[in-house]
Amino acid sequence: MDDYDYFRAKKNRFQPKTPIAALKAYKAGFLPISVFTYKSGSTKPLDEKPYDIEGIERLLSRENLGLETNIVLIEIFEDLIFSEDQEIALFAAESINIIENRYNSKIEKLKLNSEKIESTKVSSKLGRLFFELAMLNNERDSIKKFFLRESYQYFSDIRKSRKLSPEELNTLIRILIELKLYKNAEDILEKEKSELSVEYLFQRAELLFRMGQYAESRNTCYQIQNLADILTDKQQMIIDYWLGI
Amino acid sequence: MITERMNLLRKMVEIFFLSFTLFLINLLFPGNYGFFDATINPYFFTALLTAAYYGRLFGYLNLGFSIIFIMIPIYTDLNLIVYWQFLWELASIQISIILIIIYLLGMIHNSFVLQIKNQRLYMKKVSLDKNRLQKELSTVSAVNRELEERVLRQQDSVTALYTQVKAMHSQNLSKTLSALISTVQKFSWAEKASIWKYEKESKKLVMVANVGWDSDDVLNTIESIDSTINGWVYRNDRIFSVRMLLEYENLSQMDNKRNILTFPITLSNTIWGVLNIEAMPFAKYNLYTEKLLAILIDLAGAAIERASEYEALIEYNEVNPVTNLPSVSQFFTFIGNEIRKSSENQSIFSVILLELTEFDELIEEHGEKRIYKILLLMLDKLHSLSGNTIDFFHYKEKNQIAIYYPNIDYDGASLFCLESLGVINSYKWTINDNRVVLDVILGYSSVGSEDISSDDLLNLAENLLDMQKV
Repeated sequence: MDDYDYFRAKKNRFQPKTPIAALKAYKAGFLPISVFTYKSGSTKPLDEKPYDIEGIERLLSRENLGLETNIVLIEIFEDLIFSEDQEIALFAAESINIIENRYNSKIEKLKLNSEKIESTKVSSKLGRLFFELAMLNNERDSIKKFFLRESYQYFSDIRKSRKLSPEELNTLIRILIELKLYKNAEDILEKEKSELSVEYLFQRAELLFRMGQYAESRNTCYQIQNLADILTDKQQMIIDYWLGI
Repeated sequence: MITERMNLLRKMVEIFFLSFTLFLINLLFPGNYGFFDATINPYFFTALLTAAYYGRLFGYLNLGFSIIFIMIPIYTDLNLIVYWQFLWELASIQISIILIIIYLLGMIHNSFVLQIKNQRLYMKKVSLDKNRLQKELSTVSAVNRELEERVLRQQDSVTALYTQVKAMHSQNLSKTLSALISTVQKFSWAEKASIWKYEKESKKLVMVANVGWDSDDVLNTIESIDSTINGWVYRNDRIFSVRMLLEYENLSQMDNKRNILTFPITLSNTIWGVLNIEAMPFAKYNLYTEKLLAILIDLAGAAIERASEYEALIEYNEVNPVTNLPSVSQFFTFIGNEIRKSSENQSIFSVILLELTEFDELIEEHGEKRIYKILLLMLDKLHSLSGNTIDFFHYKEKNQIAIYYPNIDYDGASLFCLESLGVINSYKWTINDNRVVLDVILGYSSVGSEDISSDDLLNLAENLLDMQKV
């Protein structure tokens, strides 16, 4: 029996649709592990047309989806809204609502909490959620900007009471980049930085790049190269490109 | 350790009381003191049982306790030493045998204990392994779920690239360029990008497609090839990357802050135009993106060339105003050219004729525009089925469409026709929510290894159509 026997005798065997189902089938002894390997390597990206509605539905049913996944889903649903099939168009509209409602209910819950406890932690979470909502509304500029400003307000409030954490600072810089307020972002970055870290330098290089100050951006890349012992592959790729390595 | 000692003590007390109980029972039988007259001596029997159950040591201990009780002279007047001598003579052989049996039973007991101990250790190990594996499996499941999500949401995968490249194949150059620029946006996260075509007449670069442009950008849609970076890329057939501004003074002088990455678009060794990325995230500005976009542009070259050729060939005054498909005369010219190219390059292609039956009745019932609309939807589905490689033309009759399918022979055309009929028959065609039955017949012929004239090629396909009408 080789790894391909499953395909040869496919008609008589259980056919899992997802890698998770294949893994469960392997666990239960129904299928060989090669099916799981095949399914894992053959997963079709969600935004590939024709859309796999079942797959989209399955992913949407997971409650705690990350921002990146939600962005992809929203892009797909915004396309599907114009589907000739009315059922699919309706499904797309409802799905957008589901994603937005998930954010809204989280925001409502946090707002209720923030009335009880005056906490910068809650503000931080609210700021992040508004930022994510803005990113989901990438195609609707006015709504996007509204959410970005809401988010900015929360982080500004936090700044009045304490220094921002690296994650909060990163989100705030992203907000200002989205609003194209590069100079403001640079000022805040200078004020809020706690140490000369790789993250800070990358943010600085990005802002300089956005402002068209390429020589300074390259100098910052030199600084990163000298400062960092270990960089991630992606970071190293950027540095190598700038330094011509 | 304490538990073990307590356990040992409990067993000793148990054995003592067992022997003591037998001793008390034995008191009820004064004529058989020591149970020596019994076939099986309970004192010795319990010693054997103890040895089998608790092991050799406890067996001997039980025997010891029993012998001590038996040695108490209760029902005799004999002198103690004499009494013991009497007992020894009476039971020495039995005791010796019992001692040996206890030893053997003890050995068997130890062997079983060892086996059980080993099995326990094994079971413990198996249980630990099982727990570890279960943990590992749940972790793998969680990781797999995360990876699946990552794969599902990835937008720059090879499969996505393949789909996008397929989407670039179109008869319409604008559609091809629009597909190219959206692919570029997808793979580079470009916030602003544009495609510029070189116009021979004006000797300038003209913007033909863009993404992310705002009202200010639209003011600059024509560029000189002498004083711009786009022009420099066009003239030198070289990729421009913004970091080059730090090295080359001439480029700095041309820079108008609208070029991050700029690529020449080359078709059959001729530079057609340039693709310019004007704004993109810093994180995507790297060698990987540069190479990926270079590959993408190379792959798009064929589609742009084909769409350009098609546009050059098709005269727009001969396009059907309702369907926007070229007329039959253009099809004849096109096929004539393709047959000539085929004999030069030894390439193959097929022609498929599609006929919608009961066309007049359908038009009478629903109107020409609606029927053509539904026909176009059908052609769109066939276009997707072919992987966006086919071109459509009107044919001799109003209800006939000619399909040009490059790079497939007779077998491939036959399979495509079968699949097309499957797609057409399985789809629910509706006009104003009313079901419409579309009956379609297909005929096909191919240009392969042997030379064939366009008349013969089309006659073959027409004959197949006619055969189905009989």
